[in-house]
Amino acid sequence: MATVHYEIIIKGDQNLLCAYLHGFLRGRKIKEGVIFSTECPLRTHHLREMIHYKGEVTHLICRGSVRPAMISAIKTAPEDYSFEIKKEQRITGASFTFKFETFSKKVGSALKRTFTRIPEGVRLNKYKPIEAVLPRAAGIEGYAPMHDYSFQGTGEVSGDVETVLLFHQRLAQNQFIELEDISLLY
Amino acid sequence: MNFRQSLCSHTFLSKILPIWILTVALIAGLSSFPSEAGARAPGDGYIADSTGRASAAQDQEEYQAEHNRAEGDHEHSRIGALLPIWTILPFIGILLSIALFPLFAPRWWHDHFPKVSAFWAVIFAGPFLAVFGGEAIHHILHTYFIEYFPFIILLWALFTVSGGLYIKGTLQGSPKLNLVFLLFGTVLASWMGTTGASMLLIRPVMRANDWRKAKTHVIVFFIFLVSNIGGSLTPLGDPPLFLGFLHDVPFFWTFTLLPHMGLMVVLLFILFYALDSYYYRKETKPETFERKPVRVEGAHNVVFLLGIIGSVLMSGLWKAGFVTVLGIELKIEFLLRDGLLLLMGILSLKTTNPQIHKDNEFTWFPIKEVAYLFAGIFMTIIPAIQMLKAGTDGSLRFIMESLEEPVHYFWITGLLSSFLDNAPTYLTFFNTVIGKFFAGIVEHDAVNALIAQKELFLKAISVGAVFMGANTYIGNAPNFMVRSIAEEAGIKMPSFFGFTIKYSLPILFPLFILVTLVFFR
Repeated sequence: MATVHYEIIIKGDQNLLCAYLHGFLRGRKIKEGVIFSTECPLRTHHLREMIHYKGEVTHLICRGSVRPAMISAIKTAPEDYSFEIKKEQRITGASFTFKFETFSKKVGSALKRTFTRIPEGVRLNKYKPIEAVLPRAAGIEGYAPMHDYSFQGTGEVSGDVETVLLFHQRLAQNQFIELEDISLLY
Repeated sequence: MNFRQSLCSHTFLSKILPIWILTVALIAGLSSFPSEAGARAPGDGYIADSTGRASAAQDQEEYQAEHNRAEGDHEHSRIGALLPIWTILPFIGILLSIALFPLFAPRWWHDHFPKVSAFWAVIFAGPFLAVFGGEAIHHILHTYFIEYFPFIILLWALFTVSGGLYIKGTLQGSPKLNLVFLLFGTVLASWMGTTGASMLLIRPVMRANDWRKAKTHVIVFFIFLVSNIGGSLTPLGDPPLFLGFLHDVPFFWTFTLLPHMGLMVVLLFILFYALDSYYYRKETKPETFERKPVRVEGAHNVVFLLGIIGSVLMSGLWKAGFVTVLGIELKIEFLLRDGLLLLMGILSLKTTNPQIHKDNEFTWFPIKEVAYLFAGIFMTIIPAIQMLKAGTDGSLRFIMESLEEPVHYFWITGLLSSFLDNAPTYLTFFNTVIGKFFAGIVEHDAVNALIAQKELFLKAISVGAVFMGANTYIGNAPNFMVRSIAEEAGIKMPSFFGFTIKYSLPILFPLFILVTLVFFR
């Protein structure tokens, strides 16, 4: 059964909040299941939220099992910390789009492997790989540059939040893949 | 048919060599006809030393012939006063085509660039011939005989000989080793051309750094130094300087650019070493690295390279006189040089192991590109050159009036060389200063006077054209070549604008400002 996740939007100083909650997690020996928007490439509407909530906010993604403890920690934080839960909602998943392009057969093969061996819990949507071999473009050109091999593609990855995040991190290691930030699905 | 056979027998022995023999025969046959400008027998030539200054040993006959040539040249510049400004549109058209099509329609451009070049050439040549008739023919022949053919032959020879050299083996890329590679390439670029040095060294550099994650900066600095700035010291280094040489700029004059080049190179080396060391420290070093001893294959091609250098040098030092072909005076030493260059290339092809060409991915495509595109460039540049030569009588006088100081020439030549090819850009501004200060004077004397009285202008144009070719991928032909090779080897290279925004602007532009303050203020 898929793990249930929640998004909690908390108003307050980001550094203080992160430090406070990390301390709390350490004290409770909770090592996984909590993700801070400040520590992962999560698509947020930072400026709009700042205006809407009249201050800095942090998005916290946590497993359903950890959620009560987190809420309790925020609510029981010292008053002068001024943490305030602004929104809380259940997340059904996460997704991000990507694109890549290479003119190297070696890199092309590695990219193919990456997108055929995707982790469990992750779906590849609208994946459009285009591989082109153009023998007449073989060799080196100075004024009319063209490659005899190209492999490019676009697509979207979606699935369970934590798995999608891990996959995003893995793809980010490959300099040929351009990644968009992760969007949460509700 | 194997690779060598296809190179030697098909392309050369059946095409280029007969054309050359035919040309020589034609020259020999036609040289007996007197021309309007005054025919000369070999040995009667204008005597100049290596610095280009006239010897006191000119006799009366030589003086008269020289005077005749000056008259002829003055006649030439008259056409520049008649041509309307819009006749340079095909020149702008072809330069913009070269700059923009590779970016926005690469596949179409790859297949059709010869037609595009021909289109612009015909657009200009048709009306030009219709209006000016024989005079137009004279100008066209003059441009092709004096500039185009020698230009293509030199590039062909350098390309062929450097394509016969291959560096085997693998070393482990480190900041020190990369610096040695860049230093070696920078020195080599002035003697075997930026294209030759780039093609020779880019693969060893990539092999050495294959284990590293961050290597884009290595390739970018390679483009800066080996593919561009390194070519500043001799006319062999970069096409603009060879065009200057063809227009009587002495061979060794380019050595006066050493301080400019030195400043750029030293600062770029320091910057590179610091940047490369930073990235190197972050790399996870492999526990074992398979080093393969380095050796140069096809090393005998160095002899042919020296032959090329010697031939060009000879043509700059020795004055053997003229022959007149179809009314165009051709220097005998230049014809001899071109013949020797062809010979060096053919010998290289005949004696080089075909496997070396295969390893270098050697094809004739880059030379075909240059031949087709420059055929169009040299045709369409005629009105611009003539207008500039006409000085204040020409329609381009506003350029001369708006460009006053060397610093203006440095930046305008440089910035235009960043986006247009640097060879025609150099030629345009070279003629701008000639027209500005020495309009109506025979070119040889005008160039000597330019060097003697207004040298800083020539330095500014030369340095601007060579250095700022590094600003974009389209600034100089090897830039795109190096980028393509790197990308096909799996190195992530910046996009067209990424290259300029991430690298050229923050790294090169402050250095260009420094060069301006030190040398051209």
